[in-house]
Amino acid sequence: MSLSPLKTLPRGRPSVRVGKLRPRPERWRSLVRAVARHFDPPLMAIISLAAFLRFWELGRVGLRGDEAVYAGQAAVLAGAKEYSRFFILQSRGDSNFLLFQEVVSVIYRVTGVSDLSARAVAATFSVLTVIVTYLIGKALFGRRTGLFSALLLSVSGYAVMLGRLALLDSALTFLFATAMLCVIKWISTKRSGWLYGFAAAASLTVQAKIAGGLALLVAASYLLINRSAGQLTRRRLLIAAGVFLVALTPVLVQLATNWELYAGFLSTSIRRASAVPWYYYGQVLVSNDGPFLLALYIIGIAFAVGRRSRSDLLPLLWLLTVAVFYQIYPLKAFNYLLPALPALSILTGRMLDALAQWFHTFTVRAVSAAATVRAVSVAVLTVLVVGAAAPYLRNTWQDDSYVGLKGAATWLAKSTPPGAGVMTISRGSAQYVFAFYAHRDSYPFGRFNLATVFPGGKIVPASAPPPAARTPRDWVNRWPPRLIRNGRVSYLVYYTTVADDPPEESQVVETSTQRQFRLLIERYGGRLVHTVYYRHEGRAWIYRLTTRLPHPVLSYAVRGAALTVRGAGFTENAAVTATYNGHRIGYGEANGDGSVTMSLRFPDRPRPRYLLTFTDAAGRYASVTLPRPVIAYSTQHRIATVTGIGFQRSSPITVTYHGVVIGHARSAADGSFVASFRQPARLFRHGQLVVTDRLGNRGSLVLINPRLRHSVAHGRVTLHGSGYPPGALVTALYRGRLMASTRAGMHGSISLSFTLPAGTKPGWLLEVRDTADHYTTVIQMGHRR
Amino acid sequence: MSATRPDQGQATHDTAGPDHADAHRLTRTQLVITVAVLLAAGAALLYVLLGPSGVLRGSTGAPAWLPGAAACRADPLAHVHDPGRLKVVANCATVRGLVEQVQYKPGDGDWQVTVAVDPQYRRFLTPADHGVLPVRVIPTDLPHVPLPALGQHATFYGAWVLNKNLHGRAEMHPAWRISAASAALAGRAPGGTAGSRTGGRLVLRVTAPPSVAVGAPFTVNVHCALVLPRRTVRASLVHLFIEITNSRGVGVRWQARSTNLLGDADFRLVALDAPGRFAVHIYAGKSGLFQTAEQSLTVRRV
Repeated sequence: MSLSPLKTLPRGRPSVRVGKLRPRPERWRSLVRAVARHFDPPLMAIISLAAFLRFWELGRVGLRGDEAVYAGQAAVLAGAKEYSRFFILQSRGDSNFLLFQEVVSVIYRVTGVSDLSARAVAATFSVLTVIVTYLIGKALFGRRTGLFSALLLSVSGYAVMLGRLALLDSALTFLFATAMLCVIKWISTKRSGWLYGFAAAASLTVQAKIAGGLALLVAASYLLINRSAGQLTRRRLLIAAGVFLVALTPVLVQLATNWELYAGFLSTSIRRASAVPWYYYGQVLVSNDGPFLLALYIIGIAFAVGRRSRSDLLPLLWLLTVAVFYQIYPLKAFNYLLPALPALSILTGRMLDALAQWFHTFTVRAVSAAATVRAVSVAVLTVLVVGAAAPYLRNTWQDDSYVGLKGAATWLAKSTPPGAGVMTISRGSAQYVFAFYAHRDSYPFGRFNLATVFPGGKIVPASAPPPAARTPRDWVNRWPPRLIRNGRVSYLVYYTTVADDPPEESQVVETSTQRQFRLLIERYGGRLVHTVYYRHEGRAWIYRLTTRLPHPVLSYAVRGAALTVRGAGFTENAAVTATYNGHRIGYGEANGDGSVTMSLRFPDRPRPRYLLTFTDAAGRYASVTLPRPVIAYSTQHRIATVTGIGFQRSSPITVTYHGVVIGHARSAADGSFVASFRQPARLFRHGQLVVTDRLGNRGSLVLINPRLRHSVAHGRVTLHGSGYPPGALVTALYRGRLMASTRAGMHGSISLSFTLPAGTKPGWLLEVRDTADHYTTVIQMGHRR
Repeated sequence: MSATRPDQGQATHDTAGPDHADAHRLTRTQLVITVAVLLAAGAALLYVLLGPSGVLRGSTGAPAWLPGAAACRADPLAHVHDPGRLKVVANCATVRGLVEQVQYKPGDGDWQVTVAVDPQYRRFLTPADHGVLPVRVIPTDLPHVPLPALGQHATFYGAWVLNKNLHGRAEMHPAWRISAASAALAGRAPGGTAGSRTGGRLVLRVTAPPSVAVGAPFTVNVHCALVLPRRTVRASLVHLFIEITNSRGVGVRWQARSTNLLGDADFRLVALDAPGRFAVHIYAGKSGLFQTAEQSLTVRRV
């Protein structure tokens, strides 16, 4: 095997340039011939087909989340100030440098901001890619391969689907393919202009999407394998690098001005990973192009590998680089494979061309009309390809994913106040549909490793995921309740991405995030205010939240006989009824934020088991128990001191022990009191100290009631106790074995410390007894093995 | 495959340069580089398949089923809430171990028995189990699955699953039979036996709309009363579990609640389901008393 350099084209056409200026009729005829020579009817038909497939009913379905982000950024670039509240000029995933958005912004300056313009730009790039693919195929293998390649790309459901979306991938693919065309032309013509063109195209490819840097890798490996690197002289290299850097200037400026933001986004975006099976991209291709085209792709690759032709090298490297990169790259998405599709189309087009040639060679022996045979074989293959792609093109055309979002946004724009905030299920971007169409503050609900831009420009980075998880739960557990509580979110929009007619059960609520979002609607009293229908099926449901808390809460303050109760989280503007122990004691009405305040008379005889309950008209309720007076008892030098809180203010207080009055006091303005008296001469085992006020509020405690605290550290147990009879002998027994003993102090307190024996078990009990065996406290040590 | 030289036709003559190269095959060096690249790609693919989170990494398996004591269920995840989070490893499995904890889960209405399994079963646990096996008894099985006591050595029969929401934790979920080694402690109904001793019974009154539009919120109100020989009282803290099944009997919604002191519980739901006929099943349990109720529900297009 040998590898000779590619043959170069003859420079110029002497027949045209040499000689005198021909007479005018001759010049016209020459011009017409030239136009006719370049007018390729099959190519025009393919381009027209590609344009039709990409532009027809382009705005039938509204923008998706990512599309809305790019369209919004383009609007900001075009100077539409109302969008600058919602969109920042920075990719949150550090994925691109706004090239596509810049192009769209130019269109916006002419046509105004619209979703259709953004999609039209992407569709134009997609059609242009068909032309570039034709040129590459033609340059590598000839016109017929170019035509087959262009045909395959133009009818590929995958390319059409992405060409109809205002995503970056169509621009990326066009620039990627253009860079590859420049490489091929440079190798074949040796004209430096193609090299510099490649440098510029590669630079723009990187700006369209950072993954466009793969074009450099493909070109470099192609030059190395093809032994064409020798054409790259130092001067050419320097100029090409200069062109690359000049074209890269916008990137350098953006990096210089926003480096911290880039670094911050990078730290979260590198965590992004998709939980998809390893054959995900195969599934994507099958679902969009169908098994027949996929089989053709595979045969095309096998054909090229088998031929081991040098012309197959570039498309093979191109395909391999993109496919391997995205297969290894942890984040996967349905649109990532598009840059590889021209290469696939060229390899497959080459195979179809060879098939047509073989068919012609095979049949020409029997049939004299060779041209007819060739035309028929090409036509048959064309019909086969188009026929196989047609059902999937139909599916692409009829794709109604996210069809409800635009309708929901339109309704919100018309029917809600400008300050109303919206939350919807999102993987990071869907909420921006509402920002784009409705100019409403919008927030996501879901799990994703992507920063969120709050209305006004505040950037909330994605936090680190919990251990063993891939995505953080901030936008499921933390932010939604907070934003609803403070009133920044008052509408929830639930939507379905796909639906059949009729839909199956699993298609309305399918994912865990959808279930949790439904739970959010239920918890916050979501009231259905609008449904977006598409072909008689609901596709988006808009709920207005009627409360700001998942469960109402109550708090109260007591001022003498007045009880002020504040509630929050009730149904907004709903009537609220207050009951105490089942008896109605007041009425009120919740405010617009679901809060309610009632001034009530403090119940005459509050009991701990009686509930003060607020219930709103929607049945949401909250309850509390009113305060039970609390007292404390201490002694010093045989003088007992009783303190208490929670009594009727300025009320006479009576202290009794074991049924005998032993002291009097008067409560202060805040309901507290202090009473001192001589310590009871004798304490009874069940004797209670009881404190009552004028209203009957009552606090009590048993004076002798040993209380123990224990701690275990390094197998050593420490006990501190109080409430023992002064001087009493206290023992600690562990599983019946005496561990330590001590005598209670004059205030009845003890301290013990001992080491646990080896082989202890959590179930074994520690008993602490006084000598009279009146009080035994049993402690389950409870430490884990 | 040999290289086929296509007929380039008249129109390709002006760009004929690369076409002639088709006849040239790759050199040995080029072939080596290409094979190296393919090998790298193959290695990457193998990593994806067999790496730490590779799709072909096998699960830990499940303990064998011990036939005779209970029948194996054909659909082990029937009545289990949100079954999509569970990956069934074995429809039927048997495991033995020491009961470390018995706990009611108010979030989903299940009772969870935490079991320190016998040594021969430990290899079936995953790192997410942290050495103990959660055995779940679902509300629909509670009437006929007595819960074991703490410290008891028991045998559990049920489905062996991996919980995808809990990092692949191995669980027996649900368990439909538990047999205890010590008969003295066996047969304990959840929540004690106070209610069953009194000879009372639970009575449920369910209020739900017969029909609701797709996406509309609706409330199912359940009032529970405890009918005793001489009086009827409101049954508070009754564990309620609601399951909504579609026309094929497949569960689509689940929620758990407990009644308040007035014996009431509200299930606030949103009908984000496909239009059709559904049935609302309510399972109530308290102190060894169980009761069920059912009501039909139609989700309609507007």
